[in-house]
Amino acid sequence: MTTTYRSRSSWDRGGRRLGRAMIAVPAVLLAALIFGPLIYSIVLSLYKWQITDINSGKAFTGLSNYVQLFTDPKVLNAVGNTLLYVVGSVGVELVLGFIIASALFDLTKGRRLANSLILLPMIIAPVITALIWRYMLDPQFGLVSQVLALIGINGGVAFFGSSNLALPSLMLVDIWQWTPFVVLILHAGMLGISEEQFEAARIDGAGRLRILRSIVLPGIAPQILLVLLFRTMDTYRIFDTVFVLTRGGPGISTETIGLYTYQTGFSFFNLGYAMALGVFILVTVAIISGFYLRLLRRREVFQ
Amino acid sequence: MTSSAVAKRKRRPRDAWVIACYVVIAIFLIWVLVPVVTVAINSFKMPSAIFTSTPQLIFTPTLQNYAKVFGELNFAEYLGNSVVVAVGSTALSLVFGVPFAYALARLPIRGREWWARLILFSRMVPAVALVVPMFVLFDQLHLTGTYASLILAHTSFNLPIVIWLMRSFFEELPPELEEAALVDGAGRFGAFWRVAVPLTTPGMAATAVLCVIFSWNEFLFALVLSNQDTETVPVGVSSFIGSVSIDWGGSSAAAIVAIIPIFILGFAAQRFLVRGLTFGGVKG
Amino acid sequence: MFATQRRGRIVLMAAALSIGALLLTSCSTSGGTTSGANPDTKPKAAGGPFGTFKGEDLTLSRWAGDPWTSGQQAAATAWNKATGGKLTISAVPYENLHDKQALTLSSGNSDYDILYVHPSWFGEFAKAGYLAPISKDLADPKRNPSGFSAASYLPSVLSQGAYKGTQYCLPDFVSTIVVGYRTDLFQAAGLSAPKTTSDIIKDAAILNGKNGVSGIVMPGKATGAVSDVFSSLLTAQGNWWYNAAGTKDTLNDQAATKALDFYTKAAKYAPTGLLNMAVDDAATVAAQGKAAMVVDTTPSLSALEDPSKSTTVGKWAYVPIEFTANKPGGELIYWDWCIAATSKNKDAAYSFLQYYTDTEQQAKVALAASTLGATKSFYTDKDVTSKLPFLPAVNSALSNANPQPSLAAWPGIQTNIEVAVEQAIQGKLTVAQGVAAMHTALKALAG
Repeated sequence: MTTTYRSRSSWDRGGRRLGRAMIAVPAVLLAALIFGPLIYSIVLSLYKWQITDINSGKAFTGLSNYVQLFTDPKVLNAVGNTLLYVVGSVGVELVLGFIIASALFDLTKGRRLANSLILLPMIIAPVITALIWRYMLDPQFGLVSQVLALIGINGGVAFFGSSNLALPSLMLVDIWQWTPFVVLILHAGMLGISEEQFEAARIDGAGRLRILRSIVLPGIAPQILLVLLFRTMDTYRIFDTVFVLTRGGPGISTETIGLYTYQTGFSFFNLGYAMALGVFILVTVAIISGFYLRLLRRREVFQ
Repeated sequence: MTSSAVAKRKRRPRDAWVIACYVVIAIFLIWVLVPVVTVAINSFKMPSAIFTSTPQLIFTPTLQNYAKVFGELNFAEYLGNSVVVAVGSTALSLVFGVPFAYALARLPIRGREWWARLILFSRMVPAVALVVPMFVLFDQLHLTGTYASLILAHTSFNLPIVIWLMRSFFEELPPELEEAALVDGAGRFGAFWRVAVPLTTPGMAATAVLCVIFSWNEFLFALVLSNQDTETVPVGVSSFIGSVSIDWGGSSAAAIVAIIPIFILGFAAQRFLVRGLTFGGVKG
Repeated sequence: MFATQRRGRIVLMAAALSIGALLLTSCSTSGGTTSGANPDTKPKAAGGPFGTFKGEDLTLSRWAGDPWTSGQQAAATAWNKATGGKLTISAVPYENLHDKQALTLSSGNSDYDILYVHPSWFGEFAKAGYLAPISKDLADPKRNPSGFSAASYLPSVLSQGAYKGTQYCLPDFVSTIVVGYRTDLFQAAGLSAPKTTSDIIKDAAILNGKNGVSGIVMPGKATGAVSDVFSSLLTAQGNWWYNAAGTKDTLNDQAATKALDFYTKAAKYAPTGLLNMAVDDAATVAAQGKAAMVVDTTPSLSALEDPSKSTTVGKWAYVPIEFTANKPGGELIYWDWCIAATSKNKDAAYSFLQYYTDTEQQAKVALAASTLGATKSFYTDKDVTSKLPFLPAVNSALSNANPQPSLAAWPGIQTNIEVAVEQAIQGKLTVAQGVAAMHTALKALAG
């Protein structure tokens, strides 16, 4: 990339000027819509306040919201649940997504139709996804319980109503909704692998599994890391489906850090602390993403 | 790259492996579709036919739930609002994001890596941290309750996506094409506008579809910044989920109504999605 | 270079255009003007709304949920027709209502006229000056039916809508927690009606598991209803969470232990998934014939008697919660309807509130949604009393009632209390530890 610029200085000056013009307006927009509000919310995290105080006096409390954050046992529990959720959902999504994308890649007919239908879950709003699964997994009247009853297992299973099953059930919902996204990206990556590589492998007499392992898998490494990055970022701050489906229960067994932040601000009216929690989410997710980005670069796929 | 993908498709024997692939896809499709189909069926049921202990496949279908969704709840209005907001924010994100992405990919600007990281970082900010400050901002501008505030709020998460994706599409273009245009005297902007932009249309289409989906489904900003004339579909659907009573028939019908337009878009644009994302290679 | 500049200008122009388009769309909403209104016009028919408000556009903010939203919509339509005003209902999910209202009201650009205000944020809103006083309208004979005044409401309920001596809100939606039991199942098992909580546990144990029917069902999901049930269990024992000023923990260990003991024992005879059941889930389970008893809020129990939702219509009888025989009690659940301080149509807003909370409209709401009015005459209305099967149970429960907590700190405390109940049910906490956790939660009263 860096080699494509000619050193003719007038071009570069023109390019620089155009570059500046192209960056200026969006940069202002980003500053106004994200970084301004973000800085404001960092400032607000230093106060103790609720929404009705927004235009009146707020009590400045310095870093006390952050001090509370590190001594709050609920934060520890929530981070633990969140990490379990992230690792469980993203892990399964990746493995399942890879299997489905490989199968899709080897279909001879009907690939387009299959692809379109597979995408269905990821276009559905989280609030509707939660609604669908609240019905599906209802222990009394949900489809899963109805089918279980047909094969003689009566009384239903408390998917969201037991501490052991609630978090895995939430992961199941995430896996249902987002595996299609993983399939889409990985499949696109596979289509980008050059045919010569497959040809060469076939001439060498490599079997299907061998081709998958030694050509496809390395070929889509960038896509895998990309999926990891985006899914980790999004699952780490999950709250909407959790809010509708379990509201953190039973007990606090499914309370995620995103949910705790949302509830602190909007259900318990403690916005200062919620802002501090929001900053905590941002910082931790940035650290995790930084780690992924370094991986991406080490594999020399990040240009 | 795309041509080789096409070439590869023809000679593949119909062996056990391929059959296994069909089985895997079929099972996965069942897993993906059954929940949605179940809700679609429920949307034609009365509550008494939904709350049963065994699956009820034979029932008297009713359009009552849909009548409620379009009558009493005036869902057509939510749909209209969602279209305005989704199209508006997608257009705005493309208008500003595409040049930005091009500048990042091709133009000699200072702090390129720094900008790229900033864009990724802006995608990480949780909505919970933004929604109150953003409300205050739009309130100062007297924009709360307007389409403009919703479009701008949704641009806040769509713009980084556009920049992120389009940058990789531009980087994938062979630079020789633009260089040739420059030699022909097109100028930097000409190379962008007449060469790079037309060549990345599939990628742009894919990006646009993703932006529309994200905007269509967004809930928190839409709830806080709208008023009853500008509420979008997710807000409308959620109004079925009362904390004291949930109307299963009605909410199922509302869910289906909310899904159908975006599904049609996704279906129609599916080839762009795959082609666009393949074409760009979706590099990190 | 020149070309580049020109193109740069095109980009700028495109940017300006799209921003201009945005501003245009934002200016397209404009408010109506008030004209030809007379708040003192007598209603054409008795029980109708006062005043004419032609050309006035009102917005009512409430939470979404049927049959209450549609019931109120019907009242709004009738009010619109009688007064010439135009009242629109803006309903959002309950969980988001507080932030939506608080943000909108804090902005000063609010177009809200009438607000549903939950007890837990009533104090906050009143203190912030978001609500308009209502006392003058309530005392104005020209704007109320003859003989109608503050004294027409149940004093214990009306007083919940007053802050520092000023009346801000008018109440409706009176309800509490009662116990429903299946008369047919009780008869078949040779059991008599359950009198006390120990009867309930005993009967639940006997009836549990017969033909796939559970012994009892109640809310178990931490959505506020667990706390409502627990509050009723405390009230029935003459105990309450905190003192009158709302500053000190007054939870009695013995009462709390008995209440939590009841909850955990009852949970043993409850259907699978209890801990994810909100009020409506519990009611649906009961209505579909899957539980012999149900402990729930009265509005949710309306599902039991609704043929479109219930397979057990007419098979239910209701008793109040009693630990000791003939000592019933319950939490007083109510709603407050208030007028926004920034409303430009306060007279019209009062007209609707008076109309809506008065006995005639409330009787309609009661029949559709099983909540009770807050006016005294409601309880003597023959039409109502004959058609609400659980009215006697509610009345006797409310003879000894504590109003739903209205402290700003309550939502946070409540969640911790509900978590304690859920953990006790799961056996993660003993009853004693659960009670201790409640005391810990109540420490937030002081902050």
